[in-house]
Amino acid sequence: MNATLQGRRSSPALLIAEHSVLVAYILLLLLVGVAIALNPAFGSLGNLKAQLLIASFVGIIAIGQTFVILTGHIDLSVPWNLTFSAILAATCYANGYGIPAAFGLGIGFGALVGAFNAVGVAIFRVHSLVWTLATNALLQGLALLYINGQPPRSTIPPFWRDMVTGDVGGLPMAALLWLVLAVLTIVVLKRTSFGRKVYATGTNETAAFLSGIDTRLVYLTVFIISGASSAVAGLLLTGYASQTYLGMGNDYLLVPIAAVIIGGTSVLGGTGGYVGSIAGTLMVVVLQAVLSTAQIGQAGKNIIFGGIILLLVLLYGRAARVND
Amino acid sequence: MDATYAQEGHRRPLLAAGGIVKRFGGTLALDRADLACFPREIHALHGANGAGKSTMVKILSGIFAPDTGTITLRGQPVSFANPREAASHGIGTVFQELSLFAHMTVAENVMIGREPTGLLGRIASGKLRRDVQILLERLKITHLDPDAMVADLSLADRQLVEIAKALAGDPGVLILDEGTSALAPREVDRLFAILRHLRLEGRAVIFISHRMAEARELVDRVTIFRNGQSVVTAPMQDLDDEAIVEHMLGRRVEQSFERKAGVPPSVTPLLRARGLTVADRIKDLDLTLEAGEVVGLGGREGQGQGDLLLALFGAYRRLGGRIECRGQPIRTGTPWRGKAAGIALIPEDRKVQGLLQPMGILPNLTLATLPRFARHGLINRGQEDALAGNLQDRLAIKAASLRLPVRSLSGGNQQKVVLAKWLATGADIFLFYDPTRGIDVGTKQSFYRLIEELAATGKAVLLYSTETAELVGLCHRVLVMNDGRITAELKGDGLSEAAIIQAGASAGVASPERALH
Repeated sequence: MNATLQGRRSSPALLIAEHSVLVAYILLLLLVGVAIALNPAFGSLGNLKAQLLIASFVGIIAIGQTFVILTGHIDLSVPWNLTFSAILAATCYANGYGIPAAFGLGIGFGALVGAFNAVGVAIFRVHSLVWTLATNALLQGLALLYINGQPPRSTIPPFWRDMVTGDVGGLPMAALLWLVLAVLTIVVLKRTSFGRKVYATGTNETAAFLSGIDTRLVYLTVFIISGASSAVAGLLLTGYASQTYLGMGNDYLLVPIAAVIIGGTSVLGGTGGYVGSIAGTLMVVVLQAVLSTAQIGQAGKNIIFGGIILLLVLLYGRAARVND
Repeated sequence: MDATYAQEGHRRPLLAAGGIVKRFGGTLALDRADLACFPREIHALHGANGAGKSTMVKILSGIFAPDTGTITLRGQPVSFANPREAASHGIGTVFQELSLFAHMTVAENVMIGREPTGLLGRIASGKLRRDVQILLERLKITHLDPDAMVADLSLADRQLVEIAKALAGDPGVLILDEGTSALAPREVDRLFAILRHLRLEGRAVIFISHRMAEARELVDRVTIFRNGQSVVTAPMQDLDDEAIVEHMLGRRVEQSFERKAGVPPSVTPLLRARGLTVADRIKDLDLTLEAGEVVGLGGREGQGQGDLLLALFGAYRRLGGRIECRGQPIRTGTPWRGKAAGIALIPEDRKVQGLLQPMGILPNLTLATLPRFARHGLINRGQEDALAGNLQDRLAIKAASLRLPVRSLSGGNQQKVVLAKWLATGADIFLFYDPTRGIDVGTKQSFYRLIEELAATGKAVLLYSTETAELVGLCHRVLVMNDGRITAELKGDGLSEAAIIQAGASAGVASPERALH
């Protein structure tokens, strides 16, 4: 990618876009500096662990979004897929089935929702923006029907919580899981033929199709990954909060998407990767902490997140046009 | 209105372009070209693909400005800054590409931009409808309902709407770039009747059509373009079809290529298609490709050649008929099945269909062969680099580094990357869509050698080309397509540029309906 820079006039905007991953990490460091300056306690080991735990939830959802966004699509069904998967798993456990069955059900359901999304996108050719938004609404309705007006049954055992917050070698378990999944994601995207197909499909679906790549299978896989990662995040959140509740997924739509875009993955698909998404994830989490410390309310947070996404989309979009 | 055109007389051209030069980047599209038409005249403009006909039309209708040269209208020099100005000077144009709004009615389309308005700019839809009704009646297009949705019309009817739209401004000159249109004989008759009517009204018609033989009865004078120059203008009766083709090609039609011996048909050809049908674009088509054979596809552009290649490759899910590979029926409908059967497609548009432009040359080269060097899905980079390096050497792809994005390459080298990608798959059936379009002469030669090499090593090649010289020079036989069908097979002594052009242009003449004229 660096080679593309040679022989072309570089504007600051272009430089930022070309080196978006590097920029994201530099901004992350700056942001951590600001957070510690505002509140020295932010740098404490305990707080950093707490932030890392929250980042794990965002980061795991960002895995799915990175795959989906790389193909030029988006998954807006995360909030209620996450919630419903978690409710199903918790209910399954409460009904006396073991943890493996409960987790299997939750993740399986999430993956199934992903497959449903892929059917709309790859077979009926409805844009994911519309289809997954409808899926989200559908899941919300189904979840409400399922719990039948009662608060979801939540008898979450302590060891479910320990599986999320428990300490292994100084790291929370959830963060460890994130680390493993992150490495796996990076390897899959950069080193496997499937990863290559994801980039190819996102860059130019027609050319990929006419090169004999089953683009429908690519869409199916990325949406299943996204569905499953939503469900995994739901299970982790359930343990973290020791309960399931309606609206537990509400904060996990925009934030992971912001993380992916801040990390330099193009919303048009084809460029970017999970290395950037990790920086993006840590940034949004630290940013949230800073905004909370600075006593900026939910309204301010939303405005700032929305503004950052708009700014980056404009920046990267411009770079893409200049490149052509 | 009619009277004014008629009074102009035959002395002074109604519309004349003189010494027009137009350059696009490095290519000279028009090189001091002239074209003049008189009132009461139907003037045909002929020329091979890329001779500059469409560029001239676009200059006359205000889409392009000429680099140098003059345009005069009734003796007065004019220049058009945009199509609207040309239209206001009385030049109406029907372009090759239809430009109608599918979800508006016939009447709305015909009057677009010149709707009669009432109070506060409200469109007077009643008057609009009546005006269009009158126009259509005048043109004897009585079968069209002004209230019909354009989306519901056949292609031929859409073309009539397009003509009505051009005539709604009451132009003195109608320019008709028929290009690729596939009108049935009856519809051609209707079109010709309209053009005769316009001539009778004293207007001039500039008519670009590849239907040389059909247009003969209609056309008064003809101008022939070759390589951006106007090489001859003459009354139609002074030029026979052969003379026209000679002027188009610029030489006496001679055999400058080594005649290729035909490949005898075998019991199990490499590829056989029977009754191939794709919507209304490919109609019950039979085709065989033998090992070691280069078969050409000729004919005017847009007669289904591209659809045929895509269908054989498996890009169309809904497909009639059957395709056999080495005698074995193959399931089509997806390119990966075609690929598995050993079929390779070098598609029409390398930018959109062939390559991942922003990605590196390397992943483009290996895109179709990923499983070859991926174990458990994990790409072996050493093997991938080796394969890509081999391909680069084999095709002499000029690139400083295979990490560079493929869009940094020249057109010829980009096309080599597309071909290399498929050579790597070990395919033995190669489908080419106009592979040398927009490629420099040197690279063209290397493509010709590659195609000959493929055939020499027992592979089969199906080559569609808009350059007839390529077809004659490379192919054992050439199939000429018209309207989704193969209408002529040329081989041996019968294979020549003139024969290909005539077979492409004269289809339909043989039909009984046409013979009545």
